[in-house]
Amino acid sequence: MPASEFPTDPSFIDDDLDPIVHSPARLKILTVLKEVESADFLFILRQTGLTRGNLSSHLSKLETVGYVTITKEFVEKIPHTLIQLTEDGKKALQTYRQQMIQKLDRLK
Amino acid sequence: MSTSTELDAIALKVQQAYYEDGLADLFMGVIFLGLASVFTMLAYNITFLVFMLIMLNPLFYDPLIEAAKRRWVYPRAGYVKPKPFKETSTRGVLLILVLIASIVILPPVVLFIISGYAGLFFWLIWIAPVGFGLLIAIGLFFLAHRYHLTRYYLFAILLPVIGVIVPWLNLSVPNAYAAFFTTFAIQNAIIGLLALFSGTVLFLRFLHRYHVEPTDPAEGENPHARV
Repeated sequence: MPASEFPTDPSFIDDDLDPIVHSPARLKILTVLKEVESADFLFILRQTGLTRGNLSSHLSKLETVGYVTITKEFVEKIPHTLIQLTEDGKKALQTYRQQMIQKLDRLK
Repeated sequence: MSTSTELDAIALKVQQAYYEDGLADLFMGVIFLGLASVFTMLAYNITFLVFMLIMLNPLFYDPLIEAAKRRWVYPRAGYVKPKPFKETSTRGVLLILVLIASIVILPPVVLFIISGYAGLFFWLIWIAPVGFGLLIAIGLFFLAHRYHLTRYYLFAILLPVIGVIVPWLNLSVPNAYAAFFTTFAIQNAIIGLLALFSGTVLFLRFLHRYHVEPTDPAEGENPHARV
């Protein structure tokens, strides 16, 4: 998603928007995770089109704030990382979308 | 494209991911062709036991498709556990119930109205194949609508249409039962072949588009990369 598609006017982006969710890359990751029960690193990589390093760093940030959980499990004796959206993450994404809709409505 | 539209597109792409590799179509094709062969056998009085055995197909569907996904899909497109299905749309549920009710109620009503020359023969030749086609079409319409899968609309429309066209062709068959099973067999064979074709095209496109990702423990391992 090109950054130019996000409004950059300071009066539009005020303090009440969650800066963690407001990043285009993290917004994509959260949107992908909202549609599934859980997914692994490669699935999110394919769906978002981010680079490995970029995705890894954004996932770490999302895990730090508690919006996603990253769990390691074994699939046929091979370690497997599964990423899942938490309840906090779902609420944050929902709140963000509502705020954005309200802001866009105000612009009409 | 606006931001929200692009997020919606991402969400739809994720929902469609299960069908992107074509395996669902391939298995659907196998099941329809299995049913077609069963109905062909039944048309010529071959044992009913075969029918029961092949009808068990759906029981093997999930493990088989899971094994195929482990072999070809997860190493390329990653693993995803879909959300459990929850139909919250009351309107959708009501629509499906009305459709099923219409399918159950319509044939007897039609038979009643035209009872002057109607009977079991008429029901077997003209009504049952269309009813069968409509029943399967409900499921296909649902998938097509929910995941925006256009090809399933085509399958859903073709099933009842074939159920009308085949009796018109007036194929030479021994009796009404044979005609009934022959129509079912043709319906299933055509949809099965179409599903196999679309599944093969999608599967080849998937293999061409995605390659097995190498394992990279620093950035998230791919447990299926060795396959």
